[in-house]
Amino acid sequence: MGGLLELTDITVRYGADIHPVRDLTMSVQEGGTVALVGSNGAGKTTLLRALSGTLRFHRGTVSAGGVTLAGDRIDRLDPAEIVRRGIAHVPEGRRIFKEMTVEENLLVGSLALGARKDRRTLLDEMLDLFPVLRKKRRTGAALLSGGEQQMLAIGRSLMSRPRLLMLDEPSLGLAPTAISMVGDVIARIAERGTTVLLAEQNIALARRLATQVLVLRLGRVEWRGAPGEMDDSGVVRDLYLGGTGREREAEAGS
Amino acid sequence: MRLANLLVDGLSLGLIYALISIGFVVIFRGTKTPNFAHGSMLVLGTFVVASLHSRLGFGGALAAGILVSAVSGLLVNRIAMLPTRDAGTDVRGIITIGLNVILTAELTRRLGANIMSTGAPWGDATLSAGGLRLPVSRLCALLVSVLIIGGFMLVNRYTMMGLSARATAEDPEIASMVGARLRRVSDSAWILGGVFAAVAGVFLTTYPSAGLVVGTSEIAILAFPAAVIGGLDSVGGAVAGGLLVGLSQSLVSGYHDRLDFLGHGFDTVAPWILMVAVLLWRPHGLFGKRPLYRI
Amino acid sequence: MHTSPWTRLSRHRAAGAAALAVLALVLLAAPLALPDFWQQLILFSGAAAVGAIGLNLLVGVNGQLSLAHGFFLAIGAYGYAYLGPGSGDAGTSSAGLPTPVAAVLAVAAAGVAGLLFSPVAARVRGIYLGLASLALIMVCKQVLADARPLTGGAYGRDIPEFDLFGFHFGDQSPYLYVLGQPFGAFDRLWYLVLAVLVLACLFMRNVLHSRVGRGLRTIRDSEPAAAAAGIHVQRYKSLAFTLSSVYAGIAGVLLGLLFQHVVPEYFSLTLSVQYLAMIVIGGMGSTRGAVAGAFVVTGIPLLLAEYSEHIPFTSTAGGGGLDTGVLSQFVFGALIIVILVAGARRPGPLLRLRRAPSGDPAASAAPTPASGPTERIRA
Repeated sequence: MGGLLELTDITVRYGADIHPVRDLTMSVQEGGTVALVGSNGAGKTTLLRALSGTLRFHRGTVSAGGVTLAGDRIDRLDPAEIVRRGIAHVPEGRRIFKEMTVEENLLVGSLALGARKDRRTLLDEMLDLFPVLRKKRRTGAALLSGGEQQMLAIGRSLMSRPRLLMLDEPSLGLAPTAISMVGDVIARIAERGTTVLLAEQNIALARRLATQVLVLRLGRVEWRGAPGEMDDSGVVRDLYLGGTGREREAEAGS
Repeated sequence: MRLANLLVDGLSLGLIYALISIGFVVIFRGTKTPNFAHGSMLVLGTFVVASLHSRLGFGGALAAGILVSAVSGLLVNRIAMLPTRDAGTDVRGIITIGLNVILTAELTRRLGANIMSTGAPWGDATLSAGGLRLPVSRLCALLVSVLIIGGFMLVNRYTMMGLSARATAEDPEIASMVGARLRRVSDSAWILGGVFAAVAGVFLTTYPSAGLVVGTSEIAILAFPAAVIGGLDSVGGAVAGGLLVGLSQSLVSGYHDRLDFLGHGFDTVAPWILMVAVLLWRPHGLFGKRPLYRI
Repeated sequence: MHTSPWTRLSRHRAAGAAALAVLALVLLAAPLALPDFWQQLILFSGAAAVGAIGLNLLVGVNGQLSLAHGFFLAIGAYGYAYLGPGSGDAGTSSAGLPTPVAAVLAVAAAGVAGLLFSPVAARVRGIYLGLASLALIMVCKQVLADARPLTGGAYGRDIPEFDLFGFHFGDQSPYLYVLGQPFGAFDRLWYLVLAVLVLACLFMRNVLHSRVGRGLRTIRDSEPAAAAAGIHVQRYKSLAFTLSSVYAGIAGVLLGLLFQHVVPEYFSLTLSVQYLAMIVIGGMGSTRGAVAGAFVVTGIPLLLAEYSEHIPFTSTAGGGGLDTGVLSQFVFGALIIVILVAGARRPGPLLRLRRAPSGDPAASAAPTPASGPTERIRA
């Protein structure tokens, strides 16, 4: 208890009776990196949307439970307010602004900071963090590679100086070298003290970066623990093969 | 000479249409709403100017007209647009149709068969330069339009406010996720749309017509084909579309003696036909960038 | 006593059938008892209702926003006037066909026009379609005013009396007296309009309950989902446009018969907007709602004008107060706005005109909430 982000019995509803997330309770400690792991439809994306206030864009709503950030309720706030309070969401599929340049994409990420005189300085710092973006700062964002676009999306979110950075499947659709690059960036962000919440299907990446792992299935938390404990519990096998680990063991008579 | 005059006429008229059209496009980009009441909002702003110019002088009346337009745009956004932001574009479009019904009924009632002058100080003065006839009104319109349009485009491209508007236009969900405030963006879109319409309306009713009449809104809504031809989500397209419509109108009415077989008043129909032709060739308009809805 | 559900159901059915029978008797006898004002109100509403049902199919059920309805109504009315026997209007020509034939052909012409416009609807989506349909109305106004031999120009044309196997739906041929009362044009047209309206409703009900109706609704909710389900989207959309235009054509013929004279001014954007108002007020997607909306939108101006002495501040044309025609417009505009804004607070049928744009297709793992087992078919 007493983490930076607390979710209590969160249930999300789409339409009349579709509940992609049910009675979910979890806690994210300040400075930690929490990984949400699970297959498609497990509720990872929905959960992140609930946290960033963007369920509305997908005809969804938090129908029960509450979310607090450093003690303040945030589950009824609109997305711009949530960003201002320090939660940044890097969405699935990168979703950079293709009609803008790299530089403009980064600058727009600083909207949440309000009127600033040091915006250019912040931009400069971000370009230091992502040298590949500095080289292409005036290029149209649509012309970047997948990995570069992911960097740009992360950089854009970082421009708002978030306390909590949420990433939805950053490795999706990327080549292994790009994934490794993205992993390095996230690790560095975590090192600098930003709390990270990472939704991933790529279990290896999740284990590498996380201090805590939550396994989601059908909208509920099925298992939680440290990355090291994953092997013993059979959870990893379940994720790859499906079914409950204990059932399998019983069948195998072990 | 006739052609040269028609071209100048068409271009200056086109810039007025461009101004109206930009307002329409700004509202569309900011709130994904086609403002079917745009013509009557123009008439409203112009009506205020025409009603008050004898009491407040042209400058005061113009300021009042701009203020009324800005406030009415804001009210429309707060009362009808923001509450329906999760409904589809078509629903909000129909709401503006309802608004148009009310505005048109009231403004028609007040205008009746009258012609209301806006009291513009340049009246119908005309300059002559080397055989070219340049109405002062159109010259002013040209100057003011270039200033307003140019200023707008600079703000759009180089300020944070412009960046916020562009982000919201491209992807409202992600824009809000980086901190763009929907209320602020939509408020400014509707305010700007109203203000541009009011200013354009004053120019529209100074020359060649003697003033504001009931039929003015029908001319004003030629901004719709202008905006669509350019592409509803493109500001540059709105300018191009406006110029095209202005030119085509000017040429058609200028050569109407040769085009009589097409009937009376073809110059107000021509832009609509042009619009359908362009849409069949390019379904998103000449410079439109993205499909109206994603999958 | 515990009654089984089956008994309750058949009692329900019996009660329903009895009510229907009473209603039918009332409707059949009405012309004899109703005062002229009410008879005309119901007649004009009934004719408009046919058009509203058609527009509802296109806009409410299939989600294609069209402002061109007035255009197709004009084809019905003017087509019938031109194809029928001449009425002696100077300067207009006629094809001289018998009126039932002229009526059918006029309706067919409206349908063909709708069919011809549907490739535009295919190419051009969403709000661009609404604006393209606006173009159609603008052109329509121009043509109606200019093509004098066809349309009588700005003065309009007289509408030939409908004549079925020698029975004229006018005041004479034959002179009729029923229960001592003259049985005139409006009395005779009552049965014609009623019959057409009932048939129109039944046919639409069948369409909406069929696979076609489901397909049209699916297309409204999500075109890609419809395509993925094997629905030939283009063909269905064409069908919606054509059928909607046919209904408009029928309404046009009926209204022509009722007005007995048509002018271009009538078939304006205002008329299209009125039909849109009918389906918004009645509830988009519902045939019953379209009929109710037609009665509201047709009735309010007539009622306000008739009773303007009792309504403060109002008067009819020329009087000192607020003109009831203008007041009607205020009411319609306000109703459209209020209904849609209030409806947006509750998700429901009103919102299903088109789903709100959502984000990247890859991210939309969320199931579509609007379609599926929870949706009821409304007819």
